[in-house]
Parts: sequence; C-alpha cells; structure tokens
Amino acid sequence: MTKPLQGNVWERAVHGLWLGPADRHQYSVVQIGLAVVSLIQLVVLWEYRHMLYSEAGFVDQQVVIEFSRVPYFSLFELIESPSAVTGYFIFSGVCMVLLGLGIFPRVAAFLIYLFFLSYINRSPLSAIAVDNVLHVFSFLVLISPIGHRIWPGKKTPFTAELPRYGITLMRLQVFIIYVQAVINRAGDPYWLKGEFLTYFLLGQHSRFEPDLVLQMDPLLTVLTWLTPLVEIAIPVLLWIRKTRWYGVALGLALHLGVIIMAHGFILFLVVMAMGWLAFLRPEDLNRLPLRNTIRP
Amino acid sequence: MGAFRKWLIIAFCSLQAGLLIFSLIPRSWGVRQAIQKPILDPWHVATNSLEWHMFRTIPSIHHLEARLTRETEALPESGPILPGLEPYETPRHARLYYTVDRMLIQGHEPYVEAWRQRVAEEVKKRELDADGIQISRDFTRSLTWIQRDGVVSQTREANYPLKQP
Repeated sequence: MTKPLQGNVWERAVHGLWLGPADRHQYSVVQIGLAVVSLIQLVVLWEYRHMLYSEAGFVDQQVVIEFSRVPYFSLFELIESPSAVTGYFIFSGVCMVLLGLGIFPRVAAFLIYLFFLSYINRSPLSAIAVDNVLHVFSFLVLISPIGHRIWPGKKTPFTAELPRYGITLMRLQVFIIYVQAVINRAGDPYWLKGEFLTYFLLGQHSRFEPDLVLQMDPLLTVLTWLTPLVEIAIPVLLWIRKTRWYGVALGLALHLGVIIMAHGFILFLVVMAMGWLAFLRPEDLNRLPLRNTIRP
Repeated sequence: MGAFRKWLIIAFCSLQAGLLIFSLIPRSWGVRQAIQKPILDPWHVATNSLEWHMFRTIPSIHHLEARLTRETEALPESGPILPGLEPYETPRHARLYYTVDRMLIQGHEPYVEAWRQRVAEEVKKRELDADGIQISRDFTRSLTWIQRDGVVSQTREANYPLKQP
C-alpha cells in the first residue's frame, strides 16, 4: 500500500482518508453487487426498451434534446431502431455479466456507466431514483480500484490492500442520498403536518383501500414524522463500525415498510442495499464464502 | 503508486466530496446559484450524484389512465402506448405512469405534441377508428374534505385530438 505522507496533520488526514488501506474484497462485493442489480434493472426495463428508448416509442428524442439543460449526450442518438435498441440492451447485459465475473472489469464498468447515462438522458421524464443510484454507482465503480479481475491484467497478491478512496466516496454518496432527500423536504407543509404518508397511501401506488388508510391516519402521522429521522440515522449508523448492522436493520425496516405499503418499491430496496455493501468491513467479508472463491 | 497519481486521486476525490457536500446547500442560496449552471448541472448529468428528491412532492394522483379514444369513448383493445398502440395498464406499466404524469407538467407540451403526432401516424397506418388520446387523472382531494364526505378523488380528463399527418 502507499506510504503515509510526511507532512502536517491535515496532509496526513487527507492522505489517510483517500489513500489509506481498504480490503480488496470490499471493492469486489460492490463490483458484484452493481453487476447483479444492474442485470435485474435491465430485466425490468426490457419491457420498456422500445416504448421509451427507440424511435418507434412515444418519447421524441428531438424534444428531449430541446429540453436538455446541458449539451445532450446519449448513445440512443446513434442507436434508434427497435432492433438496434434490443441489441444494445443485450450487449449491456453481457457487460454486466463480465463486470460481475471480473473479466475486462474496467471496460465493462465504463460501458455500464454509458448505458445508464444514455437511457436516463434519452428518456429523462421516466427516470426514477433507482436509475440515478445505479448510474452514480456505475460511475463510482468505474473510478475505483478493481476488486477482482479474472482476466486480463497483472496479478495482485490475494491479500493485497487497495487505496480506500472508492469506498469512501461510495459511503459519502449513500450518506448524501439519504440526507439530501430529507433536507429537500424541509419546510414542506405536508411533511411538517405529518400528512405525507396518508396522501402517499391514497395515491396510485398504495396497497391499501382508502377507508383503511383514513383509519390509520394517526399512526401514519407519527410514521411521517419518524421517517426523516430514520433516513438520517441509516447512513450514520452504517458508517460507524459498531453500529453498522443496526444501520442495515433500520434500512431494511424503512424500505420493507415502504414495500409493505406500496407497489413498485422492491427494486428501490435492492438498489439501496447494493449501496450498503460499501459499508461492509473486512471482518464481515471474512464470514462470506466470497473470501475463498474470488481469486485475483 | 507514483506521486502524481496520488495527488490526482486526492484532488479528484476532494473535489467530488466537496461537490457532494455543497449539494446540501439549498438551491435558493446565492452561492449555490452562482455555480449551479456552469458546474453542478453538467456534473450532475454526467454522474447523477448531486440531486436527490425522493418523496419530496406530495403524491396528488389517486389514479391515472391513458386511453385511445373515438369521440371520447375508449377503444377496447388499443391504447396510446407506442410502438404497437398498446393499452396503458396499471400497475403493470408503473414506469409509464411517471412518464405520462410528467409530460402533463406545465411547460412540457412539446412532449405531448410529439406523442400525439406519432400516435396519429400509427392510427392512420393501421386504419384504426380513433380520433384522440384521453388522459384521465383522479386527483386526491384534501384530507379535510375526504374525512368530511368520504370522496377520495376528483377526476379531470384531458383530451388531445389526433392531428392527421
């Protein structure tokens, strides 16, 4: 690993934050997690590939370009016909398998990053948080050290340590996702009055009949007020070594609660759980069969 | 690891971390507005790391339907979803819900215009007897009113005649 810098306290702290040692398997689990969850997302999007991303669909690319806040970039500018879009989806699926296996991992990560960037930009009105989380994690895996590599590349010792900058950025990203979502709602009257969950469950994702929702109103008011506290607590607990499993438990409770109440949020749990993988410690990874199966 | 690579990593990661922390500053603040367009917008589009709005807006739609119509009556087996004029199905087409709902936001009219132009072309090609797209949205009423009379939502229909290509 890199030697600590000679310098003042600040220089050593900055150096340690980004270049201190991380277990190579910490990167491996995120790499595999991203590959698996991206594949799941690809399967979910398969039904929509022509509707949203091809010239035969109902989202006009020229209109999207006109509305773009920055210069438009999407490979779907070149890949327009339904058959070409299908081919691109299959190609991206192959890249996800390659990333998971550690074959040409850097190239595969780059192509997966391009896939997420391209489809989000091609149909921004249909993009949801799940897409954004996968996109940012594909970017973070792309710029991070590679956890495992089957071929090609020079061999790394099995016990090798890598710089921790990628893991630190991933953890910070998860923290920002939860905390910024809470800050952005600060001052919203529906959240302040505790009415959000009641309205949410009167909406079209709800699994409950409106009568039941109205009966549960006092409980939903309390849950609305608790939700921001839970969202802020999750990344904080995950980051602290001693409390990380409480963070996982709280995260599961929050996301499973949403799944129990509403349709269409299972993938949100899966994607956020992929982000939690960045908080695993070397001692957690020792318990996984992964430790003995992934070789450099 | 060489010294140049070390400092490159430190500089890049410090910048990314700085932008992430900066993204917590409210958009209304002057300091944020100053760098929003030249720096934060392009970086957000490239990385999707800076804007997180989950559950920010109040869910106002109780139910949404998109139909292909003849004199405002829904056609039984066709719909406005392209390609193929497929019917819009809930909850199966969950992702289309967001797309259609956001198309109806004020200022997004060009999306709807392009959509109905394409549907018109497809209707003509298939010689279907359809003359419009109807989007029906059941808006959730305020809790005070729901608790008073038990009526959960109020329907508003928007009809978009198909332009003949």
